[in-house]
Amino acid sequence: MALIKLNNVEVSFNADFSKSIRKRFFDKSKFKKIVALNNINLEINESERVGIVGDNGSGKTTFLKTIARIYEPIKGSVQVEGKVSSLIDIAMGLDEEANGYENIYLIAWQNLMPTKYIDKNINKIIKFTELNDSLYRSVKTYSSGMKLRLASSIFINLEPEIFICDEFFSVGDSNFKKKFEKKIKDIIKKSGIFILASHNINDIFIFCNRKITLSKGKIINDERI
Amino acid sequence: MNLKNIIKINKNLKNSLFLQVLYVTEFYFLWLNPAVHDVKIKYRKSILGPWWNVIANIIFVILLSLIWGQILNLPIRDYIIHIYVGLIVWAYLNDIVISSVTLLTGKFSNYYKNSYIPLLSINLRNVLSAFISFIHNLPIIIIFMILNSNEIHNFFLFFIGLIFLFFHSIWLSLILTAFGTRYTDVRPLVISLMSIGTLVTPIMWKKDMLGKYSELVYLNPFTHIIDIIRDPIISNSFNGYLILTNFIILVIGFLIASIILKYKGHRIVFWI
Repeated sequence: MALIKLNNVEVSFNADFSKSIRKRFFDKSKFKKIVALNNINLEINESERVGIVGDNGSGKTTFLKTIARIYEPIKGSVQVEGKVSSLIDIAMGLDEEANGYENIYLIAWQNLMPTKYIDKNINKIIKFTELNDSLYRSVKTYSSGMKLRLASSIFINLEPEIFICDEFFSVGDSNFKKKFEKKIKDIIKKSGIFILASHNINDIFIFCNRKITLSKGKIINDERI
Repeated sequence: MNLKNIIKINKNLKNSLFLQVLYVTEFYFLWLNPAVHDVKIKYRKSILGPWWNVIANIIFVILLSLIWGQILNLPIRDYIIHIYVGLIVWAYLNDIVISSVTLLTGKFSNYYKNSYIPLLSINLRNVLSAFISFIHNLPIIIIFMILNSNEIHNFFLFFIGLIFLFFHSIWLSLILTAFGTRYTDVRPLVISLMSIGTLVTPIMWKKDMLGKYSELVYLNPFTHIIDIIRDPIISNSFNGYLILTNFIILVIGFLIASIILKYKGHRIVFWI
């Protein structure tokens, strides 16, 4: 059973972060804190498809990274139950020198899938990508749309219980979106959770049944759609 | 331990070296398979791959031994073995040190920033791919040991030395990755220190040449790390002192790495 629970979560950064040794040890001026997520209380249960909207800098990506446990909150607690698969940056973990086929294995290993599982599912993933012969070309020759197809096909077929995506649909064509939508529905049927952050409100209405609006790191609206 | 339990203990994963060890043991394919993949990709378009390094080392060591053996009036065969082993271990450590300081700001930047993975898995991947290239020198070392009429226990001690070398690289890589990600100045500093290290570590010279100061070389931890590999090849006697000092260095190294992770492990992602 998938579950996400956030209690009084605060995530903050140092606005003047510097990698300089001199500044770190000899500059005594006070650091300016940016609160990226402020007092977030939220519960997302199984079979929910949550769309996160908000302006640039409202905290959408930080919110996703906090749920994916990439960022640790400085206050509050995050409880995540279920296998998380997060597609926050399409280039993440892709090896540009390797071909698409090798990258399927690489990304699956990096997402805790053993070789046996990949061997069993490789044909399904290859079919989903629709990259055909291009799959055996070096990924550095791919367009951003092809990289998206490859990365999202791998992630979506890893059978996640919680699937997190950051706004990347802008580079996907409509056929691929339809196929992706069907796959998302399959995940939800298996009591999973889907979270999508996007500026495109149409994508939120297509893929989600709950919309959360963030502004300056706070939830200002949480509604069923 | 199944996946669900791992997820449960993940709470403090970034701050605990112990939990990271459990994690990378359970999910060994998270670093082992990608490390082999990295080596394949690195040498894909090369005819001889990592063997180029072995050939280059052999030519370099033969020339150096002929010149310096003559200048220092040393028996060439002993000197070749001394330099070859010292040089390949130093080159390996140098590779680990330099690659570790830029590990999260370079190749693995996007991966670490966007995935929930323990730092140890990235370090292991980096260390193992360098180690795979390093062990291509093994046939040459075995030839040296046969030529040197080494006894069977020396092969065993050499193998122990290899294990120590592998684990030393892990703590070294963990510490340097953390500092290299946090401070820009660490990279040029480390490169300078390693250049100085080439001269002050007994790679091309022998510690006996220092006369009454010969024991001072043991203040340099790299001497212990190189000697635990080189000693079983050169001498037929058992040196328990080296095993003890290497063990102490290993414990101190992992302790420092563990302290860094305990207090700063969760902040490393913000430093990239």
